[in-house]
Amino acid sequence: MRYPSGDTGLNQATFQVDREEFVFLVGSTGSGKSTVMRLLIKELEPSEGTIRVAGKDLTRIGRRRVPLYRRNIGVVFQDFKLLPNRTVHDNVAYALQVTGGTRKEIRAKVPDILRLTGLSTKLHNYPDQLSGGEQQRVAIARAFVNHPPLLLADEPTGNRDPDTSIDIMRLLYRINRTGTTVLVASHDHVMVDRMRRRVLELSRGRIVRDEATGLYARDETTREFAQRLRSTGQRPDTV
Amino acid sequence: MRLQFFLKEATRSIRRNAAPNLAALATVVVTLVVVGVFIPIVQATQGAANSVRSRVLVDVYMVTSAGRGADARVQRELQAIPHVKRVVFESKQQAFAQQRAQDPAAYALLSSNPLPDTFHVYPDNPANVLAIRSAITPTGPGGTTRMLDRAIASVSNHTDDTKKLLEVTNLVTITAALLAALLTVASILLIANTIRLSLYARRREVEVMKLVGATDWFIRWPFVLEGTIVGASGALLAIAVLAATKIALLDPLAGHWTLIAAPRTIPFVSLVGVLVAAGVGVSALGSGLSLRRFLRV
Repeated sequence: MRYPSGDTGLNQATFQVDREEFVFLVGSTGSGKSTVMRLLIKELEPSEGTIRVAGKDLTRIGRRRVPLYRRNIGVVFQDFKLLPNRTVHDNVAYALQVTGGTRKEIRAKVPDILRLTGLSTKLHNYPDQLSGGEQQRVAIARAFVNHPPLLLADEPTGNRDPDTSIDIMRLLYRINRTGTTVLVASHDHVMVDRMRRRVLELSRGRIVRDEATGLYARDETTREFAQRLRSTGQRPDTV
Repeated sequence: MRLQFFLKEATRSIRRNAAPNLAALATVVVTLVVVGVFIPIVQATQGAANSVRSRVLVDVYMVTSAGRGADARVQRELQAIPHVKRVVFESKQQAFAQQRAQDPAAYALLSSNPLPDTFHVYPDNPANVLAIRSAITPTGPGGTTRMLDRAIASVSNHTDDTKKLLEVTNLVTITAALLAALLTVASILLIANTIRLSLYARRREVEVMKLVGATDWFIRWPFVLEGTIVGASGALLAIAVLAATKIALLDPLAGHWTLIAAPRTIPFVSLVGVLVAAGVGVSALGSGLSLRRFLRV
């Protein structure tokens, strides 16, 4: 995947995620985690190679069908991307309204998911009246209200205090238990280690580690390898 | 259900984005008031120009000795000229009676009637008056002009006046049309630009909607409805202003000033229709089209 600016986002990164798996995507900033996410929701087009989601080649999805495709994926963005003019309730409800959900459905599902995410008391608040962790949970609620088969979360614990991070991870874990495939991009090593799930590590757009398939640094050059060792030794992300 | 949802979204969005929508509303009101004032002015100007032009005609004076037979012959010849709409005969007695009525003292001094029989020749279109004149006084091979008929003594000689009149009225008509076109373009640009500005402020919102899986039209409809509501309320406000002006200022004056009472101006009801259609159309279209740029996510 190459950006129009000429920067390479991903380079020959091949991996497979099975249904109902919980996978971490790790790597330092600029390693290509967000690029993977953006490719998966077809916000970007790969310049080479193919992406298959549920057996469907993404390049074959026409511009008009993209919205329909996106409804099958819940996305928690790094910057939340909440609608600033809507209350918590309306933000979550919008994901249902988009798919043509009836008012009855909204009345049934939205309070449910808000209870699950612990936002029942903030129903009528606007996003700018919430803390970062609360906004994060609204974003997760919106992503999951449709019960999509795939949930993507980009840095859900970025810059959160440990307690909040654990809450969010537990929430994602619960979502995974309902049968949803979850892909989490994170550079929070402590959290990733604690969760003990499959980990894909990206470095400069390449997959350098895949703990589930036993692939360790197959693409990694010696220099990159050394660098990675140094950075993990320092653990710069621990709070 | 769908329409209800879109309507709710639109009204909610108007409430939440009061400032940019107020700007759009003000723009619509101001431009429509200007357009609403301008349309009747252009029409009144053209009506006045046309009524002046309709008075353009050629007077053909017969020799004083011409009898009934010559009169009838000349009338037939005049009617045969292309572009002649109407030929009106005025006998010397009628002319004398009319002139004497205007100035009894002067005509009392006259012992006999000095006036000739006259034909008033009306063209089908004022622009053809000069062609008709030259058909009555064709230029001979030697460059001399002679008359169409020996019984014609002379043709009214205000060629220069006619020319000037035609030029001036043409200029007025063209200027008015140009101004109207410019004003229309300016209003459309102004309204479209205001809408674009208010949408630009909300491009992030549109982007999020797309990423959540909304189709283009699902996002677009509330914006189009919003534009329609803003445009319609703008048009209604403009009409209220115009109606107040008309009742308070124009109607009392109309009796005294013929230009305002000119029958050719658009009736107020049609003007209302035009303004509402323009306000709603431009706003709704403007919102729908301006959004296209932000929908490419």
